[in-house]
Amino acid sequence: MSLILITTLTLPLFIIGCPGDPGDDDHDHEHNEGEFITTVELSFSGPTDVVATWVDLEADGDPVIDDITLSPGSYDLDVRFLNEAEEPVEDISVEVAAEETEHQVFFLGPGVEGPASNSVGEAVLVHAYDDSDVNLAPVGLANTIEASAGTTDLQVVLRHLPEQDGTALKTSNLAEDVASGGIGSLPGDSDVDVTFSVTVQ
Amino acid sequence: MFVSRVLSWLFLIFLLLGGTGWANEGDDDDSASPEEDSPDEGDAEESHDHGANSAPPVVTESVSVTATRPSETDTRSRTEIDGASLDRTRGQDLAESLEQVSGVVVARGSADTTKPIIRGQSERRLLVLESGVRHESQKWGADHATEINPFSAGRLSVIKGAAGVRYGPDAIGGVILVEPPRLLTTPGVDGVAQLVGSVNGLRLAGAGRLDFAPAKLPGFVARVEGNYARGSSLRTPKYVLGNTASQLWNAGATLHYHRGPVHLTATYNHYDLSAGIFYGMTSSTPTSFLAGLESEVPLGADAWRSSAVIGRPRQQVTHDKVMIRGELFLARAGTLRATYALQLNNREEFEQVRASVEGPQYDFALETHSFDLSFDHSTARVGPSALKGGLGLALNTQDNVYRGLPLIPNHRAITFGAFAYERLASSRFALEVGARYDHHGRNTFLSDRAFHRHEARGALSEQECEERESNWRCGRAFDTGALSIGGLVHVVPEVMDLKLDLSSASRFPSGDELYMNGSAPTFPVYALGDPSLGVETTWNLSPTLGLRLSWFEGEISGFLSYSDDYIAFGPDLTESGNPRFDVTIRGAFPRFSYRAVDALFYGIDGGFTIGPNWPVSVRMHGSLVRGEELDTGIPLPWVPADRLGGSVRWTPPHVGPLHAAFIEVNGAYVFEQRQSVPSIDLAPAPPSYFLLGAGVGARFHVRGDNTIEIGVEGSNLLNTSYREYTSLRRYVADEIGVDIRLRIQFEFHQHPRARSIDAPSLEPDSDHHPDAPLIHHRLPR
Repeated sequence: MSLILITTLTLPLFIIGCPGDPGDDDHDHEHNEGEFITTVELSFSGPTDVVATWVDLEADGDPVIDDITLSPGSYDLDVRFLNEAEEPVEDISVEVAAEETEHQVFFLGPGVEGPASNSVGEAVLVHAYDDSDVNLAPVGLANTIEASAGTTDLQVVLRHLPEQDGTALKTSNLAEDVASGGIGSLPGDSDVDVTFSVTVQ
Repeated sequence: MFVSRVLSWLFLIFLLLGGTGWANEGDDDDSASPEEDSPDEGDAEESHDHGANSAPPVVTESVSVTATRPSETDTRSRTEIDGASLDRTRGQDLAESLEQVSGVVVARGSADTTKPIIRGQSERRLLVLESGVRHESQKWGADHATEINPFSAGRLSVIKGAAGVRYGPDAIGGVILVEPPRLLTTPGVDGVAQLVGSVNGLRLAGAGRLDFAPAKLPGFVARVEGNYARGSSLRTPKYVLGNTASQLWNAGATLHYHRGPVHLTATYNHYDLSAGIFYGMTSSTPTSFLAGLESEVPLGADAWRSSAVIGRPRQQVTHDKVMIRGELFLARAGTLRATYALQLNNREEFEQVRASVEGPQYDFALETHSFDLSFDHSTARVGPSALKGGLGLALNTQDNVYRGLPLIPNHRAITFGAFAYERLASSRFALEVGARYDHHGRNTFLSDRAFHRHEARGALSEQECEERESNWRCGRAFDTGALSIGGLVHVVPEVMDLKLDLSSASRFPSGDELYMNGSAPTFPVYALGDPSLGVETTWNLSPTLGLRLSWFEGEISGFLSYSDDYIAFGPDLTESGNPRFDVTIRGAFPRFSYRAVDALFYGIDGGFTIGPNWPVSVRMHGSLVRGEELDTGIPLPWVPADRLGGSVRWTPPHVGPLHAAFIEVNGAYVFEQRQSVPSIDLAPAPPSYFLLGAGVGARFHVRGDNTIEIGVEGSNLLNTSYREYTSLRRYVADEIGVDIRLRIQFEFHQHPRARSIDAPSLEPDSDHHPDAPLIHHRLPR
């Protein structure tokens, strides 16, 4: 009996590689397997150069969102997705570009006219894709924007469209599906779904 | 590597223990042998309670064989599944095996996995004991299946209602006892090999178990067992559930040695599950989720193929358990039992991420050490009655380490408990009283961000936590007490019993309820814990009436249970009653939070069999549960809908080598859950449904005790499209369609001497012993 007691008391010391000390700083640090996106960055270059960000470093539902003010005219719009919780900052858009056949960015809004959006009334922003993947479907990291006076919300959605049971989810007319049926009509899942407020004056 | 390390340690330990055993050889009569412990009718029941049958009190075997009608001795509503009833469920999950008990409902998750619900309480409020050891896992998760494979179970018992005194914290809604088949008691070798194949999902499972008791090493008994199952994607009547392939394997070994009054047992079990998460449940953003609610067929279903590939997203879960138990049977004093168990639960969840990301997005590791010491005094005579009872101590330490996307913090906890109970029983009545105290201390380690998030809400303050180098340590301590009083009257002995049980049980808030902060992978809400939550305590009153006649057997049980500070999870509403949203980079999520409410659950469940011993018998069973928040009268979500089941069974007489043949047709009708309220759920409750099933089986005796058993079970034979209110899957997809399961089981027994009637068969069955009384509790079937 005493032997079994001794054994039971000492056994845990030998057997198992512990899962780690719960109070250990190393483990407590939120260690994210790269899926984490903290920041959406929109860079407009045209009559005025504007860089606007949507940032939530804590992923706690309390983001800091820049308002966007543009002058009327034609712009190139580049989109970047960043993980600023990592040191150094991780540029997720590089990975999105590398997996271009499984990702697409969509631009929507009540004042946005484009492949994925029908403007309600006069268009404030006219969007067009300026890039495409190997299958000639748009990606949406590089775009053009035609801005006219007015205000609108601009919703930017990064959709992850991985293969399912060997079938590609990304097809060339997904933007049209969004225009007619909304984001919910798409397969896959949204990695990013943020909304900016845009004023063109 | 882990497995080999553990096995080598077990081996070493047994060399040591074996050595001490042999050293004592020769002094046989130095102490009382357990045979003299003359247990009475209550003994079998109590030994179950403490998991003794797992490490069998080998010598009480002969008594247990004639005293296993649990519902006749337990003051609570309790049902056992063993023998043929359990065999018919081989190859299924724990919850599915328990579904035949009235009041138990299966909740299906996002993969080919299930969780049990007892009287409306989900696993968070249930306690699973395997071989008498509390199963410690991340059971709070709605799609975290119970890491127990019933292939290795010899008996399953369900105790409905609170049972905190005997079993400790968490036994609020009920207790599930999983006990392995009995070990050998006579020298020889026993073995079982089973093969189960299912049509739906093309699932194939194989299991084997080997028991040895070498004649040359008296007192030494060993067991090795293992099983493997692999299945492809499941199929509903109209479409395939994409990515629901799964793989499960288990391995275990038991070594047992007894000499005189000392019994020593060591077991090791490994559980390993890899399961694809249904593609339809990966759209965890609210927009996609709401769009999915609208469509009858999930988006993308036409592309899903039945495939054996387990793709992302998937769950990878392992559970390792080492148990060492020592028992000392003393004739005059009683039984002293000490159990140490180590459990390591590891859960990894892989989201459908960019291909460059290889690791899991959610990684939970839970390490639990438990030490239980109990003493059951031997029976004392009090006039015409027998007094039995005991007391015990329990110590449990736990480390929870989480890595991944923001969700739950790490913690380190210690729990201490002490209990005592006494039972006075005569031929006409039994009275049982018990009390228990538990203390739970927990240090939670919150990241800086998580702490400030709770601080900003006013839920935590710097006074409550201590700032450390890069995290905050928040300590909490909880104390609980539990009481139980149960009475049993054999109104007409052997015919009618009346029971009344008043029991309480408590539960400490879990890590997610206190500190959760994040969006769940399969549920499109942003969940926020409440660090100020306290202990949840349930008081349960349950009367049970049992009737046994030659032509009729039945039991009906009612319950009324009041929960003080019941922790409810639901939408967080603004002052004007609108849902509150949290804006994340993946969109705006409705905020769900935990809050303590006073809750009332009540209902009734039971069943009866007409002609239990007739060639044709009819069985009916049903359950009804209501749960509501007391202050508002609003129903609580996820309470199962009312249901009725029935079966007609033909049991032909024995013909030649053919035994226990049966043909059965069964049906189940589940009503629509009308207690569901739109404001607390994301979708209305699904409509009612009816499922038709059938089963056929027989056993052949080949050369003495060796048997071959063959059975076919069919479920959802009408290929009905339906959704089950308690399943997570109901928001997006139907449950599976028709399934036909074929099982073949071969059992062999090699014993040098004739087996005595006392010797247990692996699956005890009266059929083996035609003279033995019909001892096994008849189950809803």
